[in-house]
Amino acid sequence: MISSWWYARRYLSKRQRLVVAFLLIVVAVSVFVAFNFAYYYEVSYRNARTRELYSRLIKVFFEEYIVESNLTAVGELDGVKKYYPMIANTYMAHHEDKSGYVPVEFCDRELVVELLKQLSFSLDPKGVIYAGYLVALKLDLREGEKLSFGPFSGVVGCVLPYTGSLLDTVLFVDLSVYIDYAGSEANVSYNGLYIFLISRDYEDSVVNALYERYRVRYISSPSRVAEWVEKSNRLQLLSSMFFSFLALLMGLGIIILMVYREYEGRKRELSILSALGAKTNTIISALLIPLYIALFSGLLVGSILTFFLVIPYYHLFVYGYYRLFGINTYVATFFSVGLTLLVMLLATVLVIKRKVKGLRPMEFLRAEL
Amino acid sequence: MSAINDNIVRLNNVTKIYGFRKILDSISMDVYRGEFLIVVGPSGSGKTTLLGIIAGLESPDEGEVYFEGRCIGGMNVDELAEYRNKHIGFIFQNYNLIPHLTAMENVMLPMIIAGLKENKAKRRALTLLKQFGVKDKAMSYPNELSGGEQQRVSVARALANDPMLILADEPTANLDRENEEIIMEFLSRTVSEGRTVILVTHKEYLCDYASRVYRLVDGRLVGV
Repeated sequence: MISSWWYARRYLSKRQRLVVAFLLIVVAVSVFVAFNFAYYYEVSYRNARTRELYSRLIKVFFEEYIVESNLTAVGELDGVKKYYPMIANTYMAHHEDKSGYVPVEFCDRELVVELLKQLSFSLDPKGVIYAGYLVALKLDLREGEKLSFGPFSGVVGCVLPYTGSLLDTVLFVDLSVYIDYAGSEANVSYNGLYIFLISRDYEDSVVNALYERYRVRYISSPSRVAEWVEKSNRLQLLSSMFFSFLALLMGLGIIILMVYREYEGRKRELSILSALGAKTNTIISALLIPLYIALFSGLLVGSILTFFLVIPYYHLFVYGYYRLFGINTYVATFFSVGLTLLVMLLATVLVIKRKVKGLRPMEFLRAEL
Repeated sequence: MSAINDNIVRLNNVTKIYGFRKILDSISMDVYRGEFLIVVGPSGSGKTTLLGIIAGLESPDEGEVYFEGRCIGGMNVDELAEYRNKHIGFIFQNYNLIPHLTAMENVMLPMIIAGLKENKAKRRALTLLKQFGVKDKAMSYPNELSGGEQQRVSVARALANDPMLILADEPTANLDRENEEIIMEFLSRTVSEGRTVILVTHKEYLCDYASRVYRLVDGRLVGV
């Protein structure tokens, strides 16, 4: 093995161009592999988090605005632990030179705390305006900065952490902002509800009761969300899986082709090594070490490029803002890229082992060649 | 022939067939320790194949090859590699130096393969290059060397692990007369140091250097 390293080091120093070319190809392949795997894991993560959020939660949108007194009956339904009325609307929001349509939910501050708790976040948000993570990214918002949306305006008290769920896309606003705008004497009415269940077993009965008592426009319940999340993301998941697999095959194809070409181009040299008494494993290692170095560095560089450059710029191009994926996505992606690397290594070892074993040194050592 | 005592290599009815052609036809011969054996024959007569078989780089279709009494046909691939590395030094007509290694590194290579430490291998390589008059070319790559210099490096490489047996395949075919003499003198010197040399060539006049000569025609040893 020492002799293989010794030999490979010298080969690398003399064949830098080839190694750099190989490195660039591997970087390109690994960017493609890492990008697709990252998307696959990000979508899977979001699905899981949204399902987790709705594990015992029902969100209702009514056809009409309902005064609070007419909603108290919800609290008396079997299986309802807590409920929070809210006013949901979509407004054009403006912050400095950024603007965009944002779903806004006027609700009790405690609701935000409870929703975050569902996702294992223990947070005590300050102020009266709480921006979901992606809303903040979209509008380039930071805590303490002024934001206007529709007829409202105020200072962002808290940018919520990245939850991976639908909470990231909502701008939560304390009801006091709405009441201040409407006037304290106004009879506030609501077009939506968040209902926390004691357990998921009560989902059907509560949903049926809601349909019976109110004119419901839409209900998101644990089973419906699970179904919806699956449905809406299936295409993304399928395409990510397909492209990841394609990237794997492509990468594998390119690597094997390069290894094969490298072998074909170095047959004479390998024959000399064999004549000088190098064992099969030494010859294989001497051949593969430079490729492995390029492969390892290429995949590492490719993954880092994807995580910190390609994905952020892709978001900038498509959604108008930079963003990094969550650490969980990156860790899973890195392992998948590592696994891809392992598959590639095994494939190259198999190909080369077969080739080297079939090598007939005398064919290449004869003078007439 | 006083130095000759027992045989180092024995070929017993060795036959090698490529396609429908018998390259070697029932070759039997003994090579003795400390002798300079030259096998003369025209090109295509099977000379290189004979060396390949002795080195274990090719296997005979029939017959056996013994090295110091051990049948090399019974060795596995790695044992054969070790056999070549420890006991055989190969010199080729077209030098077969590794292009991306310097002259010194080419000489170091068999020693590194044998597991010798880099420093020791370097020291020995420089000694050998000095011995063959190419120490000043130690850091040159093969394409920066003349044919004669490349062959001297090749001889130094063949001697790197101090092997008992040197196999030389037309070592002077690409050299001018002056370099040819130098190489033949080097080989004669290695024989006088106790090594055995088997040299195959088509040049009859080189037989003057031999302690024994075999003639190979159409795969058969026809005269001694």
